[in-house]
Amino acid sequence: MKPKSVRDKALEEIFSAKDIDELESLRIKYLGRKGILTLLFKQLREIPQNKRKEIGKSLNDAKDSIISAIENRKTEFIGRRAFEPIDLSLPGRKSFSGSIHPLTRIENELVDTFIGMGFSVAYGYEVETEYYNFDALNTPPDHPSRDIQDTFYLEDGRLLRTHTSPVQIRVMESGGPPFRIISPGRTYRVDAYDASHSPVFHQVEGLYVDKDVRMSDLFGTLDLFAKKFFGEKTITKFVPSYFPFTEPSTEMQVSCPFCGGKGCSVCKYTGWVEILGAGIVHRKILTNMELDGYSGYAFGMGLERIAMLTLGISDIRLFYENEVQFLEEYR
Amino acid sequence: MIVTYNWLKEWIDFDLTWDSLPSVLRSLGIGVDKVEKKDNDIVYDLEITPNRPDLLGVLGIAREISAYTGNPLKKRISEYSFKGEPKLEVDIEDSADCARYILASIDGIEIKESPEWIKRKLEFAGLRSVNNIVDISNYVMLELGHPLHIFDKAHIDRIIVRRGRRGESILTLDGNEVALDEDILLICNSKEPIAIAGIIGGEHSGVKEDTRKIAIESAYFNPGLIRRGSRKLGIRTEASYRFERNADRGILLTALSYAINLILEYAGGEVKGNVIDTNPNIELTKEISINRDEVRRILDIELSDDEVDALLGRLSIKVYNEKVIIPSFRRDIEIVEDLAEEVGRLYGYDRIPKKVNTSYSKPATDERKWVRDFKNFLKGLGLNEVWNISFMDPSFEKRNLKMNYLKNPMWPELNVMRTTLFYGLLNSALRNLNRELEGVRLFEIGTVFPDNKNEEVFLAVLLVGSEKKLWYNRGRQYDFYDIKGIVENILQAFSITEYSFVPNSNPNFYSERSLELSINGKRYAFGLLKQNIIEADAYGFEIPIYVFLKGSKRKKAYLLTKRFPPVKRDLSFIVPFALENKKVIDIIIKSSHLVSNVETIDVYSGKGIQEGKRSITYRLFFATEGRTLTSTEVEEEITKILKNLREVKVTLRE
Repeated sequence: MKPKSVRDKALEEIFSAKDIDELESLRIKYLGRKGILTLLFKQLREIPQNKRKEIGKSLNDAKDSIISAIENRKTEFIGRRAFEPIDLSLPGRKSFSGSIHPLTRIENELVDTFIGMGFSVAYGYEVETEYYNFDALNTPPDHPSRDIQDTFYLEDGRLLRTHTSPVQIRVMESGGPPFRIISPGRTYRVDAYDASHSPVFHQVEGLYVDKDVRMSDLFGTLDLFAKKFFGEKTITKFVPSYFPFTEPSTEMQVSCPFCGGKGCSVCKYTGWVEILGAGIVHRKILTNMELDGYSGYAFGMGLERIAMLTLGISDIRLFYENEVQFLEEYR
Repeated sequence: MIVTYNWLKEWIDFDLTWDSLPSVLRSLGIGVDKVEKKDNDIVYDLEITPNRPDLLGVLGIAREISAYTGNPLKKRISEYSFKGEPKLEVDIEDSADCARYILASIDGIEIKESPEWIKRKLEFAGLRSVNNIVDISNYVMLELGHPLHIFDKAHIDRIIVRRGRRGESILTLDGNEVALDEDILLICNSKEPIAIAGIIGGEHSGVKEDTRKIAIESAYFNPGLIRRGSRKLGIRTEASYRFERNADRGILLTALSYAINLILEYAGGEVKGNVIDTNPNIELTKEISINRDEVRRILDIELSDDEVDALLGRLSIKVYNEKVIIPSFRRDIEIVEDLAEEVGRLYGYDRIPKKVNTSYSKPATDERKWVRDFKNFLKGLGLNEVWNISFMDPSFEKRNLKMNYLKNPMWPELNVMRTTLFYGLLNSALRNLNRELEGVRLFEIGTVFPDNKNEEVFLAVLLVGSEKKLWYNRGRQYDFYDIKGIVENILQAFSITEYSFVPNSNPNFYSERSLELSINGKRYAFGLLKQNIIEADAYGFEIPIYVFLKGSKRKKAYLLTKRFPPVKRDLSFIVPFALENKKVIDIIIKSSHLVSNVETIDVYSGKGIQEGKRSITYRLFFATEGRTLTSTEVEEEITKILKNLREVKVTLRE
């Protein structure tokens, strides 16, 4: 028999040994005085000189493997605890963690981005007056721009703010410039409740008022924001727009965060998505606030829209239906 | 607003291809919603901002292309020269309502179908073809953005433009009887209203199959008045949409000529006499001052005075010295910032530099970080955060509160601002229970409107159903102690020790299964909710977050007693049912100053325990500063405790 096949057979027997006694008899079978391997060693001197060295080496190798295999298995049997068998595939005992709402997450990310750029957070009221929501923001009654902001009124004549811009007025009333604030919050508009509209939604608005604020400051800040929030490679595009509270006004588009600008269903194959409205704070507003000599910029975006874009959600109602299965996707 | 590629080409020659046009329009501030190939043409659906009524006609879009390319507009309209004396009379009650009214008349027209090319254009714009006369008036509106109105002259002895009166009504073109009042501007004959000015015509005075004589109105109405009237009546038309945005007052005669030329060509007839024009000298252009330095500053671009003037000139804005003359179709331009926007738009917003200025900043507010940490803590308690809509059914609230009722609710039954977060939470729970979840653990932090003056940010927690059933968890039903545990967890997290639990008085809760947390004299209920939204029991807790924000304390020095291992003893007592657990613990603590902690580790009543009593097992920890107590010392303390407990009929269980 060849040393190699002796070794293989021995190892196989060693691995299937059930206790220490069996291991001992295997040791004797192979390595005892009349053991199989011992006999092979004895036959070595009958081998021609030229092959003896080679076969000797493989016999030694086989002997070493067998000894160490026996020793290894021995340690397994010595001091071994007795266990009842269990099903290791059963799921583990988890402590169930809850979840943070995806809108909380996105709002925090947005606000953090602006805090990192020197903005501080300001809050206002959800129930507002005609003055703070419209008049002070250069939107008089019978102004067509009120169309896009159909308003919920309370029976006492107050209203539910249609944007977070009243916060800007309250901030400008509260002290002296410079102001650099970001105001996240809940807003309301009479609107359908469907996949892309909700009568209750949220905005994140920013305001900066100082000496000599220009369009270039606005574009620079928003461009930096877009790169921080959507990624370094994001490209921004500014186009003219109209809001009663800013002049000049603009809308910022960013290269589609989904396809990177190649065109997909999210950006309707244009490569661009509209992210926010912005502009230079209207002269009339600053004059009303007795801030002549100052200039500023303001911008605002819809939290749900940004969240839908970044999380790839196509139905706004998912945010308010609060199905646990949905919420836990965004733990 | 609809335009087509070929339609624009009728107004101006340009080199832009159909697919490059949208990006040019967008760069000018005109949104392009849709581009569609249709009928050998390209149809663009444009989004026009409310400040630009001049863009509500093909001419306006062509003007923008002209400004962009520098190419001139084609001359398409020849002014009709009227002859003779006016044949009709027009009275304007108040010129503030109607600054100019022009009326022309044509006799002997023939009503028939419109030519195909007009029908085709109306179809592009989504308008129905009626007959040649009506279609021409619509076509002129689509072209020039100016709405005309055409009457059957048989109904006109004279024209009076006046406000409506209470009790008056009119049957409109779309067949509705509309009640009128003093907010509605009317066109009347000497007897009755024949049209609602700028909004919709009257049924009787309209052009019909047998109409042979017509009167054509071209007018300028007060935009605010038209808007108020249109909203009040709930009638919005192509005409009101344009008038309320301040349609061009300078195009009245041009639009009239355009229509007359087309009518004569496609319906025949003869113009009778001159037009009546109530105000031929209406101010058309206006003059404002320009500060070119301010334009350059706002945009932060280098442009010479001449370059600024040239850009404005392309928009038909004439500049001389420090003044500019604004054409009648751009009444939206009022201040230097408006001019800056015009210059920036043509120069290109994309050429404005981008600068970042962080010269001024304040530290971030702490409160926000606090709320964020709090939410994460609640998540750690296995609660899912939800966001609910703020509207509520008022019958849900059983406290006597001054609620905020909505005048125009979205859903009729949800007509107050929420006074509690539970309404939304219960509806979220319902949705999940309907989806076969055995239980929900939810929280919401949101604004609540407790009365008609204040709004406050509240936290609410809701537990419904049972724990998740799994091979290692039998799926216990949530009960009062689950919500109480959450309350205690939160108090502990903010190291709040100055509080007590008192009986419930909040009618939104069942007092038998609720308590109130009392902090600083204010009370906040928690426990089993009275509600009819879900069948299962719902346990809740609601509190303004400022209670924790303000009450949260930094931990003081670590107690030295805790450095050495305490001595632990488990003791079981037989306790009368009427004696609360809390009382027993209070007695234990009062009996021995060496007791550092008491835990209730078992409560049992039933077999083996006398009726009216229960067995409670406490784990007592004894400790002192600087060393571990000996067992003799501990035994002495236990003797004191047992003595005091015997006085309230609490005995050691054998």
